[in-house]
Amino acid sequence: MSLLAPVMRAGLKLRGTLQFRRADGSVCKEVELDGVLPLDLDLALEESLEPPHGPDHP
Amino acid sequence: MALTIHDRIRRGALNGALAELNVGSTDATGDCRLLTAADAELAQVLFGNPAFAAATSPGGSVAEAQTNTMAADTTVTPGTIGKIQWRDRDNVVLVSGSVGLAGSGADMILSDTVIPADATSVSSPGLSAALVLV
Repeated sequence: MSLLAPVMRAGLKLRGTLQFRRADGSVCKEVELDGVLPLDLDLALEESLEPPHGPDHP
Repeated sequence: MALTIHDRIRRGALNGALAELNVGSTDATGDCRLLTAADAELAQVLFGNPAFAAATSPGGSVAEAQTNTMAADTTVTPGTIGKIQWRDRDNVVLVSGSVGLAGSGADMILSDTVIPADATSVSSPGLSAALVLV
């Protein structure tokens, strides 16, 4: 069982503008872009918190 | 105790992710592709190299970065945009998602998904990427 995960919740948000132009250079359409890409980060920090195991650590 | 994350972690994570757009040698820059739902390319706006300026921390739990100057695409095909891709210089797709209008449930929302018939080029005055990390 993870003690701390998920330790971080993240999202990458992308925004901006695209301009479509005619051959004469005039703007025929301007479009707004907006989106969020969820990122799930599980750093699994619980392993570093467990007591050591092995012959040196009975 | 509440978990706290220094702004440097957010900036470092965002800078590292966006630097991936500069990887490769095939093309001079990475690109932002607009495609139909059937994967036909409609337009391709070129990132600069590097694609993004260094991230800043405007406050709160956010790191932000703005694109450097992007080059216009003069080979635009009119049609309906259904997908978007961000690719590195070797054309490896780093970000890919569906595109739709608000309420469509698409990954990326455009205020208008139709490239008009009289459009001959597309450019962007800038894109921004923000990493929210809490």
